[in-house]
Amino acid sequence: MIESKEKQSVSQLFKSYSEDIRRYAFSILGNSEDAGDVLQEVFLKYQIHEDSFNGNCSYKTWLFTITRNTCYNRLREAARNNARLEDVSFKLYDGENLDDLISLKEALKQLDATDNEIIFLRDYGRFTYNEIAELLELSVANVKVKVFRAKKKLKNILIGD
Amino acid sequence: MNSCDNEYILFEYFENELPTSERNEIEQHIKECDSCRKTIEEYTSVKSSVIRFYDQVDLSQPEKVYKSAAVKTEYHRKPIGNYIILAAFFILSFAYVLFKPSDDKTSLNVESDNAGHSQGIDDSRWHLDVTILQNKIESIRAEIENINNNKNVSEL
Repeated sequence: MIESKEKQSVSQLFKSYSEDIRRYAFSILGNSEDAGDVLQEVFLKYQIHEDSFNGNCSYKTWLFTITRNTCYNRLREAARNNARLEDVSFKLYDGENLDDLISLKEALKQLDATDNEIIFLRDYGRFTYNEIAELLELSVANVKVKVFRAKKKLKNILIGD
Repeated sequence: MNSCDNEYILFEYFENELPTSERNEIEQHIKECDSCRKTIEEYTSVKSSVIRFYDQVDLSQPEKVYKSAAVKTEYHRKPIGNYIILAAFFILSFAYVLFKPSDDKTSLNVESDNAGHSQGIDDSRWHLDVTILQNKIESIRAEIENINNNKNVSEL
């Protein structure tokens, strides 16, 4: 976790975390456009509530918490309106094993938002169990089980039991 | 410990979450057990795919998004300023209504005020204001007369 108790400017924070926030939002929502909207919303909320940041956690954790709440609000709102967020929309950079990644994309679509989020945080975000527990407001033991279940589910979809 | 029947233990090994003694035990086991070794390899493969997937997702340019975020912020903050102005306006209006002198006090009927109907601090303040106003009018009138006199003298 990148610790920072010093006050940082919005542009510094944006430079440091915008990519991770966008990818994190994408992992929950599965849509790049919505992830972009969430990124904007997160920094708007940050600027509005900047003064309430008390330094109890890192800027990263704070921004990720705002991102998480914003994403789940969107999902709840979509559910309330009986609407579905657009299907997974994004493009992949050309690279090796593109077929594998397309299969992974299809597999990730079969997982729910929380499983996707947990896998992202643990594997891509390299969050520790403690950091995930802090972000998700769960116990570490509970997080361990959730990470195991989510990754086992993904493995079974991709490779089989 | 039989990791063949307990995938969670293998997963903890994979996640580097086991104490050293148990870790050594599993390490020894997977050297001999194809099934457990395969499970570990599968978790490794899935993890590397996830990392590559998120690395290769093109999520457009953040700078562009930041600019629009900044614009939105301005729009968002603007109404707050307007609310402050509006609130100030209402407070001033309310204060004016509260402390507004009654009609008889606003009239320039100085004689009736001078008659001694004192009504507290507001009245005395009003007397003072009216007196100042009268003095001003008198001084302006005197100035006009002076100017007229000077004009007449110069004409003569």
